[in-house]
Amino acid sequence: MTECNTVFTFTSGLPGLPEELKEFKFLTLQENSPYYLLQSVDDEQICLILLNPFSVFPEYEFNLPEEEKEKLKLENVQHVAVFCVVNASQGLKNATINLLAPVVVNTNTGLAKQVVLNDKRYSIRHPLFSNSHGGE
Amino acid sequence: MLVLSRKKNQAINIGKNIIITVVDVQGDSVRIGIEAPRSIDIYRSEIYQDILSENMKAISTKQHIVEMLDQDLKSKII
Repeated sequence: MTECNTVFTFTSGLPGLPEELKEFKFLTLQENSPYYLLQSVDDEQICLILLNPFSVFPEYEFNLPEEEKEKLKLENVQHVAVFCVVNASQGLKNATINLLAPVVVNTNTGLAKQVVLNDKRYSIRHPLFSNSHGGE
Repeated sequence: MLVLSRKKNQAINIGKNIIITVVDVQGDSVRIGIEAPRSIDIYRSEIYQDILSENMKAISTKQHIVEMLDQDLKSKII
């Protein structure tokens, strides 16, 4: 596993996680893998799996509201990175991805926020693998 | 909880910077206008609660995640 020292700062925290946790290490797990790990700096036991959504849903797109751009101090579109939280609590085969609330990052400043979209196309629990109904 | 009665087009001020206006009432549905500083996050409560509980379920440890993804990678190679 390759460790890198990228830290994202979630100024308003992450919903459902202890409010005081604002800083998260962004870790690459495997080379060329679309999966990443978000690990709290202050409580290393708290991790989330992030996925590059475009690796699974190439057509994924949304409009980032102006006020969110302001909060992230985003001035240049080239400094945007988007990840989605994966819930694999029932195993990777049954994993779901939160497409409604992507994690948007300003790669220039490290400012990050889980943005809640107002977009009826996307769900909080979208199956990651469409053929995930066991067996295979 | 403070409960106030308001009619269509009447509003409520919360502090100096937040104004909530009843824009329209149709049967059991109320349209609400919110004026607030852009720094304040405004969510539909049930959606925010859903995201909050989904994040809580998604919390895991580094060790568990690494093992799970390694296993997945191995199964693909085999």
